[in-house]
Amino acid sequence: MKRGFLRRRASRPAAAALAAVLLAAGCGTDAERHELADVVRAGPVDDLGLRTGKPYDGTKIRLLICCNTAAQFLAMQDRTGTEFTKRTGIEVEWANIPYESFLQKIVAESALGTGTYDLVAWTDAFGASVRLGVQPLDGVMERAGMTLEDYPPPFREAATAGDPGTTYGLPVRGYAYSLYYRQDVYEKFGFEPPETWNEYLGQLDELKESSPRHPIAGQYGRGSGQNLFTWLSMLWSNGGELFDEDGNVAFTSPQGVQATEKYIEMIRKGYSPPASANWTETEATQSMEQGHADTVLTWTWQYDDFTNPEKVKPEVAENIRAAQLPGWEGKERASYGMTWLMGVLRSSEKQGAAWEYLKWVSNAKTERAIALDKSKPEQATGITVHTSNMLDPEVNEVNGGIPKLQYEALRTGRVIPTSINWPQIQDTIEVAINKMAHGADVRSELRSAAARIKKIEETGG
Amino acid sequence: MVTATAERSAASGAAPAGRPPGSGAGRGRRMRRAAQPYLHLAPALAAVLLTTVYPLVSALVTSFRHWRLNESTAPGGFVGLEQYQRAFQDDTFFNSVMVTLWFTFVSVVLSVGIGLAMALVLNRRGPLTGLTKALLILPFAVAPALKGFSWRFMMNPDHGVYDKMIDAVFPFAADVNWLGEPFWAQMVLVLTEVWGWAPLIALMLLGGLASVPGEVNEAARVDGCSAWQRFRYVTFPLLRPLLLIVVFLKAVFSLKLFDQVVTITGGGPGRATETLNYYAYTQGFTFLDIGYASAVSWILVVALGVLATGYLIAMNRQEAK
Repeated sequence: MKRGFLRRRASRPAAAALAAVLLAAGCGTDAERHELADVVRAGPVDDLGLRTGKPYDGTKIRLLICCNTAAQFLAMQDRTGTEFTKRTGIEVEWANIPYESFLQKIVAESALGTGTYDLVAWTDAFGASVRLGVQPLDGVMERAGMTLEDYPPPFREAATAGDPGTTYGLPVRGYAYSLYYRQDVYEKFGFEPPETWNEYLGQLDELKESSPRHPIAGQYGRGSGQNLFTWLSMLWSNGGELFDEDGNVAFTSPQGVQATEKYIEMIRKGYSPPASANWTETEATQSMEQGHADTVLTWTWQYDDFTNPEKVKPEVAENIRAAQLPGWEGKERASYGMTWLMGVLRSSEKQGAAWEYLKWVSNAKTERAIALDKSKPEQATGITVHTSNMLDPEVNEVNGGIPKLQYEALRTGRVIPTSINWPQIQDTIEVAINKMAHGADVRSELRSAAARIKKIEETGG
Repeated sequence: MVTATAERSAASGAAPAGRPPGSGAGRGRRMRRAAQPYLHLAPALAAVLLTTVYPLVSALVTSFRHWRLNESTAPGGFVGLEQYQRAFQDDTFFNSVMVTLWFTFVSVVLSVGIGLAMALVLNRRGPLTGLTKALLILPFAVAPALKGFSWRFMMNPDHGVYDKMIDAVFPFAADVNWLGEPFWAQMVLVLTEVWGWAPLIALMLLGGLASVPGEVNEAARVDGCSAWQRFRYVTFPLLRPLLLIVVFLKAVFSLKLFDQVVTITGGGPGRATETLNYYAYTQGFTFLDIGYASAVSWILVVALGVLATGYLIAMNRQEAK
């Protein structure tokens, strides 16, 4: 009797608590939205376009970003305190998230808008997911007299985040896929940087016979879509596409199959070590840095690392050279151009200060000063996103011609089509490539991936 | 000043002398007394409510709603059981279920089997037994992420120290790409798990072995039983309830394997090491399909709930004995 009484007594608060939990669990609201131009204070500006008179003095803002070990980001972060804060009085905290979890973090932050961060950086492919939470910049850019004219075509496209006509982010870092080779090895074998994939595979074949190293350090493993980078460049430069104009999967075309077979041939014929079936970019570039490989296909920014004697073997630092990715006979080359964009979060309560920082960090003058400064090896970088800097003779002279090489590659470069389904699509292709590297049939894997992507596009899952 | 009689009365719930039973003050005291246990439990209950019940209920509600984080900042409309149906129609979901079951079976058998063997060996007193027992806890104490990255590095066929050691002892395995072949990648995951768990299980079973009466074993020995017969007919039956608990516990942990998948294989090669937990994580935090990820998570919660119930029943039986 008494137990029954207690149970009844206990059940009431429990039921109330459960109801409260259910109610709370089912609730969710959209944050109130303001246009950036409405919250940014207008007024006179200095030579870098920053507001004079320090109207945001004492404001502290947070930037959600990844990979602050990259030379360019290190340099930007370093100069933020010594230059930007000095000019504006705005303090900027760089919240660094490792790349493996970065993409999830930025999309979640953009969507949920916790207000923890004021600025966010993202890579092009995730524009469609991120733009939900960032402010369009067109109004404030127009007011500041800023345009995207000084950026190469792929970066301009990425700035729209898949919403043509609207700018959501400004490029702050960008690079093209390229071929790195050992000059000493190429001289010994009498090679020149290859013009075509067939020529390149011919070189790899010769290297396999006589070189003690891996002819190429490939990357076919699963890891944030990194095994797509070479494949995309080979696909596009062969005239293939991920999707046709109607949005249908198009990589199963004869050009797509040919590009994929050539890509997989590099590991099947033993040019790339068997272990590379499970390698990501990290392992592939480490193999090159440790002197275990003759060539590697990777981003132009890797030049910063490959030439840093503190990071690589001396013979690598001395002999590393970069060239454009090969193409296909009679066809225009098309490298994958990746860019990091930075935007102002809608949920930020310090959007004015955040916009000031975005103007400074994306400014061509800031970028040029960093590219010319070689006083700190860990911050030395030749990566530039402004065309004016890529073609600047002085910038090229101190950076081994990498900016000009990047300009050439990006002139016909491409970016990934921006789609909210990209994470699923990327995962599907990444798994397919990984399976092919382990021996699965190229055509059937491509067909199977295409069918799965079609389903993803139709159902969103 | 409260008299002893009044104290007794209060303690028994009866009205103190001079006041009629059922008066307002008496009822208030009874209610306060009835509420007291709940007040003491309130902080712990609040913590459990906030950190466990709320997320679980929230995920359950979300599992019936469409919500892709890159489409909307708030959950969408209710879609009933659609997302559960989707899971059971998705071949990658079934793949992750099969991978999880395979991993759970093999890792439980090996962890418990090796743990038991270690416990039996260490149950004999030797000069280094004490030190060995102390060292046994170390593999389990290693952070799963650190364990994963270390194993990935050490099993690398190009420069991994474990790979080189295996190649030296078993030259025929020189060409094996440990993380590149589905079977071996799964086995590496199992190995990392057994490496961490078998010593812990050995420690747990050593406690059980200590409670096996020495005279029973001695009597069996006097009766002419061999070592195997003593284990088979004396030790093992007495250890069985504890073994059951250990099996349930290990199975629960194996079913939710996640860290090593992320750090060692990334789910590959292909989808050969995508466990259910990793699958749910990918759906939620890579594809940002929170509704579907919640549904998948709840399927895992139900499976773990069944095992946890079995574990609790086994525990209660053990305590009753």
